[in-house]
Amino acid sequence: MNWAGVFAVMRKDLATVLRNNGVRIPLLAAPIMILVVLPILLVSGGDALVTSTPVPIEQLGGDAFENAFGGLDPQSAQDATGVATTAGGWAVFVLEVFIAPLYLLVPLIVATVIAADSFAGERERGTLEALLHTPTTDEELLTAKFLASWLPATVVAIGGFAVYCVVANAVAWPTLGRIFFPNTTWLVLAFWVAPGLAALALAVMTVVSSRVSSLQSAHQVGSLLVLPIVLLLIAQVSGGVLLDTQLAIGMGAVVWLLGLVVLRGAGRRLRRETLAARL
Amino acid sequence: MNPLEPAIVVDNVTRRFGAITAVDGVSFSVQPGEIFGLLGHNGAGKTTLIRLINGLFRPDSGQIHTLGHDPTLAGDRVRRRTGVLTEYPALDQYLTPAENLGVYAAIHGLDRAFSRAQTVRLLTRFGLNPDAKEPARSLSAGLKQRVALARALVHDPELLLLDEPTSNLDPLAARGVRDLVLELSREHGRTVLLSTHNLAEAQELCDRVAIMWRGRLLAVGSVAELAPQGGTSAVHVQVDAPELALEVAERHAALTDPQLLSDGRTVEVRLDRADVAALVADLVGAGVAVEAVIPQHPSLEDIYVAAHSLLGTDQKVTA
Repeated sequence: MNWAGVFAVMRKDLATVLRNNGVRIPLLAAPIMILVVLPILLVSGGDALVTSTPVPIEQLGGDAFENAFGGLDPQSAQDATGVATTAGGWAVFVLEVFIAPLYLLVPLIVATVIAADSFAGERERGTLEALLHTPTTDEELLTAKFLASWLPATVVAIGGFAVYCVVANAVAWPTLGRIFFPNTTWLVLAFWVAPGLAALALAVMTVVSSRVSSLQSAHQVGSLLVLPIVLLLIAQVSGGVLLDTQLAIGMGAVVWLLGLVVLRGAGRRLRRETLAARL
Repeated sequence: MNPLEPAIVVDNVTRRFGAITAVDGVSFSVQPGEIFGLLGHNGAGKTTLIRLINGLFRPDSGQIHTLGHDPTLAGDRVRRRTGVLTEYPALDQYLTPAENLGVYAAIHGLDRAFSRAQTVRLLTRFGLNPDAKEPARSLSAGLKQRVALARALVHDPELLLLDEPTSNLDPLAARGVRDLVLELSREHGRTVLLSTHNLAEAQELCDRVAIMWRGRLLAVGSVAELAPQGGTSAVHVQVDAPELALEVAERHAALTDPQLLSDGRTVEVRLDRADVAALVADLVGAGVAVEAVIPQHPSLEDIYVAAHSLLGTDQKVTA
């Protein structure tokens, strides 16, 4: 493997991402919305509510809770957090439980945006042909494209997690008065599940991007990847599934396994001739 | 590679894409140091042939050898020694011209110092500032073309595959590219495969040409070799009665109507060489005084037109 060539292609793709506002802004906007704006709004909203209705969270069922939080199940909140005090319980529920599936959207979004740009975008801009005329092998090309997307997706996911640790403890401080975050489940999510999800998204997008003809098509197909996360969010909020440490470890294993299988398939499909025929 | 071995051998190569036959039984070879022109309309199969020669496609039948290697088996070895200017010379838009060259230098394994020296030399040669910080997207089409050509040359390739290298350039820049191609071939012994629509450019630069039409090869050879078999060429006939001469000449002209040149007494007729005597006899018979008959050297355009005129007769012009 010519690692100098791999790193050259990787650096080129990274530079394109970092200097292109059309790619860079969505990459930053999604993590900021999910990991900064949303927790602040939800916890502040919860604080406002409990200030006006000072009752334990287990009594906060029925219409009052339904109206305030759009159907969040209070029993799930208490089961998940083990905290029954109103304000503290709500903050812990939101920050540890509710945001968890949304956090998983971050590596997915970052990986799909970059990966779509990596193949379909490069073809659309006409730069893929020149690259195919170089001595990089198909394996080197796939490795470079994978790393150019996986590294930023993982860095943004783990960096976003670090920022979220600060945000979560800061917004919960007035009610809890202590540093409570992160818990083990979140550490597993950040360092095990998120990189795996990025790998899975990349593998899927590599297959998709090498087969569709435009960046727009790649984005449309890639957007379907968030559906399992949305299902997880619904299951979590309705109490059907509780994302604990064991489930997170298992989920990560499944995601990594799927990612490796799809990536292997992508490696077989990604042939210079196939790419050249679609130029 | 043996220095006497052809740089490119294309032997009865066919490549299909579904129902479309992009390259159909094509055979030719290119010698080391030669400038070889691939001529043809859009869709003639020129770009597919370049991709076959550089190992991006496998032929459905036939064989190719590029710089002594089969590009379908050793594509990376071939591509290490070839430099390609693609038909649409897209650059990485967010990288500067120097960065664009630097990426390809790194892919080709050049060390940083040599890469930088090559970048400075080539960009300067093409009239660009190697220290410019503007991204490639801010360049004009002509400047992008120059950067793309410099990028194709950054690793000092033995074989250049150039797809329409002057198509976006102004006349002066195009002149510079033609001079460079000649220099690379004549002074540095590089082999150049030049795909172009520009017949004047091909005539000026190419040692030999291949004329393609819908994937088929219509003619291969040098202009001089192809000319006698080209069928038609121009003849200038100086007469005392040009209007009458035009009427007579129309009966003999092939492909295009005869024309009266600006001197007012010379009629240019494109016809088979064998018909020149009959034309003169008819002119004299019609009462036209023929003062001079001057055969014109056939141009590549004459050959190109003649090669296409043979379509349907199933003939191939070969040197």
